[in-house]
Amino acid sequence: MAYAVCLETFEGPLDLLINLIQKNKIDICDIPIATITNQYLLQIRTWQDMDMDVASEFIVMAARLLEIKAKALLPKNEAEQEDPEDLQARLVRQLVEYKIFKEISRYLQTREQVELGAIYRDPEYIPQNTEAVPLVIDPYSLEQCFKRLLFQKEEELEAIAPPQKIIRELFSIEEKIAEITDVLIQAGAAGVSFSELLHPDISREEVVVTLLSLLEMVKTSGLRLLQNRVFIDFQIHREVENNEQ
Amino acid sequence: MNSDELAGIIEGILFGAGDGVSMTELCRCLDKPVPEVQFAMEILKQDYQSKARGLRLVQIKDTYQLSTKPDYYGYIKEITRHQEKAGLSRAALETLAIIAYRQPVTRLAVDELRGVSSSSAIQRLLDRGLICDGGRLEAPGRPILYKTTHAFLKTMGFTSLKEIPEFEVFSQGKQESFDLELLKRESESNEASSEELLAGMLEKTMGDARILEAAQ
Repeated sequence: MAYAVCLETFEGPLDLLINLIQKNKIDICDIPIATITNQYLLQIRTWQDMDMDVASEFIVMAARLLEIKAKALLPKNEAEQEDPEDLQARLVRQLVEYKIFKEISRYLQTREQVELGAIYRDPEYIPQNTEAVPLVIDPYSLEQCFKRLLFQKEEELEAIAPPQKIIRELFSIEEKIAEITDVLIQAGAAGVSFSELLHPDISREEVVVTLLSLLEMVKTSGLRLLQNRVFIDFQIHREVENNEQ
Repeated sequence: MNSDELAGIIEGILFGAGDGVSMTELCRCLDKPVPEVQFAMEILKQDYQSKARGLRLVQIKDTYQLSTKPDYYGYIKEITRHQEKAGLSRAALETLAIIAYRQPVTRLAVDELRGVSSSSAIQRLLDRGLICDGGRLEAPGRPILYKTTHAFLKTMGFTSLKEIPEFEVFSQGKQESFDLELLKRESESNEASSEELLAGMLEKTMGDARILEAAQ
């Protein structure tokens, strides 16, 4: 057996408040804040008891209502005398404005419902006769046309030009590290200078990979780099560990 | 070619095009000045107001289009078997109402007015083409300003934004039973105004004819 559950839905906290105000038949500008706050909280509690997710906006409004209520109960402080009225006035302004827009949305809905009954004819898709479009020829359009043709030609030439070679990455850091390690082992205690690692016809890419590999090795396998001052060649030593001696 | 014939040709053009046709385009096709085409359009409009016609002339800004009369939809759907067209949700309608009256407006301003997040409602309105990006607000984050579109006017049956009732009409609490009254009043005033226009135009043409006669 199927149950039909009918719940009032609210577009938001303002919607709920307006509903409560209407139910209580009270003037929107003269809200008995304690009563409304209680009813509002009761509604939220009911939803929570039904395991419904209460949107955070509803909780924020509950806090606002409680704040207004609390401020109204407290003895008035000289400095913030106007405060409770201000908070409530702001809420009332918001409610009044929202209520107007709710009315407008209802008005729009009645208009929409009427217009939904109108059927428009879809344009029939007959291929268009492009030749029938009148041709306008003047020096300017001829020039434009010529330029377009030239440009088209250029594009065609570009299209038949041999495709550019995409060079695959030839060096990997892992391989370079192995290579450098070999060189260092051969060089022994003297170590090598950075320039010695670079052969004469080295590519820019390989230089970069070499440097990156060195930095990686400093981090992972104890490498010591010595440089006397900035922007000059530097010496590379292996950090000699005890067990290797 | 007399005005009646011109009205007939316009009717043919509008039916043939299906889509809306602007006054400028009509004048170009017909090779006639604007007042003459407007006069013929007025004849057509009057003609369609008769209960004997199932079509109506829809004007949105300066474009014209034909559609069936909404009053007759109940009968038409019997034959077309159209699926029930879905209207907008309450959230979307509220959002649209705010954008229509406050445009151009940011999402944040809409959120504040409604007291809830409106991003999904705005997305739906964007998807349906009822609102569009109307520029950016020169403020931190440069938020999008939304405004209503041509499709909004068509969906709500307005000729232009000027036709939307003043905000004050709603704020002064006269909105109860306002909808029907307004719709009634609107159609009456429309009729009156178009009749007046027609009379005025007739007078003018008669005057022209008299001047022509006198000249001959």
